[in-house]
Amino acid sequence: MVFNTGAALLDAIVLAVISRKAEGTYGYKITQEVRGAIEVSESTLYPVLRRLQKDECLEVYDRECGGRNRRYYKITEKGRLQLNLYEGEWSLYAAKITGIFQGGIDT
Amino acid sequence: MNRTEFMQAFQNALYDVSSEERDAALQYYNDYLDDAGPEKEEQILEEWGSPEKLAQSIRGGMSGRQENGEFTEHGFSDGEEKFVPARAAEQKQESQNPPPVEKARKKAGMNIWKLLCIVLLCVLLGPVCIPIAAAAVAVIATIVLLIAAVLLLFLVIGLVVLCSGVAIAVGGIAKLFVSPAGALILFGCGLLVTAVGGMITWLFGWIVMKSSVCLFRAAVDLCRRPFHGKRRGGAKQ
Repeated sequence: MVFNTGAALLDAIVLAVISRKAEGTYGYKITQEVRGAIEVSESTLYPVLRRLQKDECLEVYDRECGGRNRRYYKITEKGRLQLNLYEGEWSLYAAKITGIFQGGIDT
Repeated sequence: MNRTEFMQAFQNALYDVSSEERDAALQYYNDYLDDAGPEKEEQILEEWGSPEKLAQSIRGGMSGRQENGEFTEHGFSDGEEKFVPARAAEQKQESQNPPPVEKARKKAGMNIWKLLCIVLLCVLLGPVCIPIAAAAVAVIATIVLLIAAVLLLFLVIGLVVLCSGVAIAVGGIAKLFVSPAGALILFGCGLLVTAVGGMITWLFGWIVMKSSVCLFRAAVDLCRRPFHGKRRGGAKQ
């Protein structure tokens, strides 16, 4: 990808991916879905998930799956608020950038 | 390196993080390989790089820094502070960290220069300064002793006046039966002189007490100064 993804945008994308699953989702799946939008390595997301968990934007729980425990990540109320903030800021940002690209806005 | 070896080395590389943090990381990356399936294992291990590098990314993530190249902390540096208060605070903390170290280094450097200058100054000006300082100390000591002597003199005068006042009063009482009027005058004068003597004694006694305490403190302070290193110690000899 040409553009850098800032830490805030990466947080936003991860929160968005997780928020779509009511019962939560797990690390490998999150990585694959985030990769649908931006390039991340197989090891990029763990520190991000861990930080979001520490910031109480995510909560984890273990669920039995095929004879082993798999760790699930689920968005919290605080995470949802943060995601709303990100989404609002993103639409503003995207609209401004698009406006500039299309040469139509004066601010 | 197969999976078992990799995870063992990874665990070893995390020796300096808390066991809670280590267990969480191990669980995540074990889950990750399980979910990816055995056929992808090799490719994922390759992408993780070395166990040490993976461990480093966890330490970096804990301290709020991102080591991976895919995204940078400052990609949106201008907007970020407005967007996310939590991240902005972290960034501030990070940027506050280097200055104290630099400051400390500067201070240390300055101290060395200062010390060097003082030593040089002492060596160059020593032959001139030491006699001057000695003379100054002698003059100050003389003045202090003179003042002390004068104060003590007044104290003694006060005591003498006090004693003579008492003597006059006693003498007055002795004359009471010879000439009562003269005796009363003498007695009164004696009391007056006693009062004056008492006042002088008390006043100068107080001054001597106070000034000797002050002098003692100043002397102790002066002697301690070179060891506590606040002021120049060399020129005070």
